[in-house]
Order: sequence, then C-alpha cells, then structure tokens
Amino acid sequence: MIAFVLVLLIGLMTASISPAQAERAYHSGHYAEAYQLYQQALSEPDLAMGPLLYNLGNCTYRLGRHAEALHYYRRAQLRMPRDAELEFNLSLTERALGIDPRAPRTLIAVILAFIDRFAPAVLLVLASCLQALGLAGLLLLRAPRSTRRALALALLLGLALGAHLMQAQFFPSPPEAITLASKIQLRSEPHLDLPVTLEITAGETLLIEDMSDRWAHVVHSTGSGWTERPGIGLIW
Amino acid sequence: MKRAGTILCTTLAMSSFSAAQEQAYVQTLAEKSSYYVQEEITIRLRFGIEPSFLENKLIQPFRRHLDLPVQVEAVWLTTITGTAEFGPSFVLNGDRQVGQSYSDDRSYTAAQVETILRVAEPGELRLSSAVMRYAYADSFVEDLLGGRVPEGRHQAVSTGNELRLQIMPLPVAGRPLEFTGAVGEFSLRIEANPGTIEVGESFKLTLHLEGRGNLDSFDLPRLDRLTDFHLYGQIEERSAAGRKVTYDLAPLHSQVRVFPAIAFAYFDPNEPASYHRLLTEPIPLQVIAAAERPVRVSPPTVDRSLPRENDIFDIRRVPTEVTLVQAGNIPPALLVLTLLAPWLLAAGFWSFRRVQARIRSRPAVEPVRAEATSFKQRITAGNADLGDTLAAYLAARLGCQPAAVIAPDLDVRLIAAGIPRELATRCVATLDDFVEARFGGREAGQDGSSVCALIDLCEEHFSSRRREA
Repeated sequence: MIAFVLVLLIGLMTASISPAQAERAYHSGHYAEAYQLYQQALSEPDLAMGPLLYNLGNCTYRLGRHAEALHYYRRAQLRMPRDAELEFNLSLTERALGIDPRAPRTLIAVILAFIDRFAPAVLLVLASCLQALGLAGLLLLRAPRSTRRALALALLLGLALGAHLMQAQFFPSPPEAITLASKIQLRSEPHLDLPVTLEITAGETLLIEDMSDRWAHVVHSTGSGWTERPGIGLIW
Repeated sequence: MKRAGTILCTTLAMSSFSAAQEQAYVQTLAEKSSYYVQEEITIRLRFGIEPSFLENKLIQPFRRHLDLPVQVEAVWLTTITGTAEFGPSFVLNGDRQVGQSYSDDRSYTAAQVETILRVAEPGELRLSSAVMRYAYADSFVEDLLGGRVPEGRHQAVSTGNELRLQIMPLPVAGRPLEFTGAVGEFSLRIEANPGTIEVGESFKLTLHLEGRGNLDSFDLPRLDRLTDFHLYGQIEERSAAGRKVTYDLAPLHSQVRVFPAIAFAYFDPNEPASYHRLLTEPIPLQVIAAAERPVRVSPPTVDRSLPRENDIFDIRRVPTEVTLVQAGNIPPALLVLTLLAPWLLAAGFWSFRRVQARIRSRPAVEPVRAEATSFKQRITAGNADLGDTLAAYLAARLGCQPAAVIAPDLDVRLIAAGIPRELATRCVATLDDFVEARFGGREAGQDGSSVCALIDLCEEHFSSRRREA
C-alpha cells in the first residue's frame, strides 16, 4: 500500500516538470541536467515560452554550445523583443562565435529593426492613431501651415506603419535559421554526391527559401544552396 | 487482429467438400500452426477447378472473361502480396484479381494468392473459411447472336477450411536490454568517417539495418543519451529492404577517442527461436580542442548599469503563460479593418460636411407651395406687408434671397422660370407699386385679394411646368 502511494506520488511529481527543479540544477552548476529539465518543460502548455527559451540559451552557453545558445536566444527574442538582458546575452554569444554584430546596416534596416521590437498590436494601434490624428487634423482644423504639415507627416507615418504591418501579415519574410553544426556544407542541388559550393560556420543567420524533410535551401550573405536540415535550427 | 486457435488438418478441410464441390475446392493454408507475436505469417489462399468441369460447365459471371470464372470471398484477405504479372484471373472480394498459377496433386486448374499478417498480441488467430461461388450449366448451345448460351443454370458454393493459429508471446528469458521489439532476421552495419574533428564539430554516422521482419514496428538504437557526444539530429529513410538512419553527432570533449559500438537486438522466430544481439564496430576518433577564439566583449549597448560585463545574465523564473500578443497573432480581418477605420470615418465626415455646406449655400427655401399658402394666410389675416410677402414668394420660386427679387431683370427671370410674359410684367408692376407706395408715402394700388389672385396664377404656371418636367 505504501509502495503504491509512493509510486503514485512519484508519478504525480514527474508528470509535470517544474522549472524550479531546473533552476536549482542550474544554480548548482549542473547545466546538462538543467538543460534536460528545461527541454522537458517545453512541452508544458502553461509556461511562458520566452523565459524558457532564454534559460535554455543560458544552459547551452554554459555547456559551451554557443551556436545552440544563439539559436535559443533568437527564438526567445521573438517573444521578448525588448529585453535588454537577452540582447546582451545574444551579443556576447555572437562574439563568442566570432560573429561581428556591428555589421553595417542600411538606415531602413535599422528603422525596421527598431519598429519590430514592438508588439504587432502596439504598432497597429499606433498606426491607426497616427492616421486618425492626421486625417482629423487636416479635415477639421483651420491650422497654420506648419501644423498642417506636422499633421500630414503624422498621417504619412501612420500609413507607413500600416503598410509595414500589412506586408508582415500578407507577404511575410522567409523564415530564418541559425547554423547549429560547427560547419554546414551547401550544394547546388539536394544531393550528397554533388560538390560542396560553400561552407558556413556555426552561428550564422540563414534565410530559408525552401525545405523538404531532409534538405533546406538556404540563403546567406555569402551565397545560397542546399544543406541538410540537421545542421540548422529554425527560428520560430 | 483475429484470435488464433489450433490449426485444422488440411485433410479434414478437404473431406468437408460436398459432391457438387468435388469439381472445385478452396483452401486456406499456413506454414506453421503457431507463431510469435509480430512474426510474419504467410497465409496462402488456394482454389482449384477440375479442368473438364471448367471447360465444359462453368459459366462466365461477367462480360469480361475470367480464366477462373469464380468469385472468392475471404474477409481477412485485405492485402495480396507476390501476385504474378501473368496468372489466372478471377474475382476476389468483389474485385478482379490475377493470382499465381499453382499445380496441385490432382491436376486441377488452380491458383493461389498470398498475404502476410502480423499479430501484435498473443492469443488465437482465427481466419474464417473462404468461400468460392460459381455457376455452371448442364449444357451449352451455340447461338448466332449470343454465342455460347448456357442451358440449365446452377449456382454452387465451395467452402474452405477455417484456419486457427496460435500466437505466442515473445520469451522473456534471455531478452537483451537493447531489445525494442524487432522480430525477424536482420543485419546491421555502420558507416562513418569522421577523421580528425574538433570538440563540438559534427560528423555523420549512418546505421544500415536490413533484413526481413517487422521493420516498421520497432525503434532503432537511440544515440541521444551518450555521455561523450551530442546528437544534433537524425534523418531516417525506409525502404522495403531495410532502414537507414543518419545521425549528426559531435564530441563534447577532446578526451573522446572512440565512438562506441551500437547494439541492436532482435528475436529470430525461426527454429531454434532465440534472441540475437548485433554490435557494430567501434569507430576510432581523433578529437582536438576547439581553436581559441578571442572573445571581444564591448560594453553592453543598452543604456543602463549591468551587474556583469563579460558574462551572461542569470536565468530567470519561468512564469505561467499569460495572454501575450506574439508576432503575427493579429487576425488579418482585424488588421485591415483597424487600418481602414480612420479613412472610413474621415470619408463619412467629409461627405457629411459637403452635404451641410451645400445646404448652407442654398437660400432658406421653404416648400413653395407652403410659401404660397402661408402668404395667402398672412394676407387673409391682414397683418402682412403685401410687398414683403410677395417678394418672399417670388424669391422662393426663383431660388434667391428676397432682397435679390427687386431687380431690373425680374421680368426676365420670371419668364425664364416659366411665367408668361404678361403675367411676369404684371408681377413686376405689382411689386413696383408696393415699393413706390412704401417709399412714396401713398397707398398701394393693389389689395390683398388681387395679389392672392396673382399668386394663384403664378402657382398654376409653376406647377404645370413642374409637371411637364
């Protein structure tokens, strides 16, 4: 009877993984164990994914698997876009991988990156308010020219934000991935017999253009080609 | 799956034929009387017809010719394996099939089909009797139009034997720890050529498992729990001959010298039935430490003081998920409506303002009939200034302000509005009379009744013109 109760209790305890267990393992220096526990917690439906992925990134960073850490941090960034600590960990991981995070970007890319830090609902409300303000002011007010120009600018900003949201909704960018293996090989076609056209090191960001169950067609700043899927991690 | 029992002897099944069935038979056969769980069970369905009976008596059931004009029914026969490309045709479970020719010891024209079954649980597998239906005639006559026409048609049924097989559980004694349910005969080989690799660098290892058995029903060896290696992923390919899995692995430290042998266990049900354990060859590895990379740490780019400058921040508590708006979670319809809403409101407001402006730009015009009626009412009441009210009436009809009525071109405008010239001249004269009376200090020459009559005449012409319009 006692054995039955014990088995039942053990079963109940292990039925749902508590992040507290993983937290204790992490702080005790058992990073591999913490990683396993956080991995199991991914299947729990009620836990916040952002912090979970962030902690998985920390575990893999401690284990020296920087490419995997980068992968988890990027996935967490989708859910926590304005988290300063996450951004710092991300930049530190990129430096550990030898990736230069200060690659020059166009002004538009910088602006878009800033805009994408906000939640879509916030951007939608902002776009609607700017448009409403601009339209209301231009239609209703008999304002000086400078004020009308400011209202027109607000209207244009609202239109631009709205266009960006529509583009993200109906014409989304290709998904991104991170190179997990220390080196992946790209080929012109999805066949191992073909010669390697490009090699990409761990931690690099790729755009996914096409995917099958075994291969993925990826685009990198240095080139594109087909690579086997186990070597890359999708950011989703 | 079906329950199994003790197999009936074939001779017992054969002895159950009736006299009419001596020209035809149907049998269900298996190689053994007992099998193990998940073991392949080859079931053969055989049926034959005496040649002279086939040639002279049997009637084709359908327009399309069948080599064996019979309809066989076996409810457990859902998948046929190993059919011949050119064999006798017949109908099986309602579909036309081609079987394998078979020569039995009675020189019957016979055919057989095979199927492979696997039973997942121990017990008795019972396959119900197959039934063969056919029609035969006493004789045939040749008809110029219908060809060979049967005379004296009879229906016949041949019933085969019920097959019962015993399905045994796999033995527990001697079962290897690596056993995951494979039953059959298998071979295992491994391919890998890692060479010299760095810590964390991935290499590919391919496991080939070939053989005959329940290939789809067991797990292949797991490599995700090796203490010295990390498994990035694996890709599996399956074919009729076997399974191939390619693992993407990486050593975790430079002390690794060999990739260990992979064990795979299976149960061979052939006599003597026993478990077998296969081991691959260990693969030597040369692992070197990863090259030192300078970690250039710049001050964080965020504008706040941080507790660490060359190390990551600590983990954080994982709260219960609240309703978060994640990327792309806005329904498309809501997105479009919210962006269009300011424009729709603006368009509505702009339209409203245009309508208001158009109304304001027009003179305050009462319905003219009401104006005419109210004019006459005021005349009747005796408290109206005749000149002002006449001007107001004409202004309403001309669509202008009353002050604009008194003008040199009043007669022209009245004529343009549809008033005959004489009447227009009379209106102008009447109005002038009132103006002169007001400013000349004399009595007007017109009274209320004459002005009412004038108005009535004008109304008639305005109304008729409106009707014409």
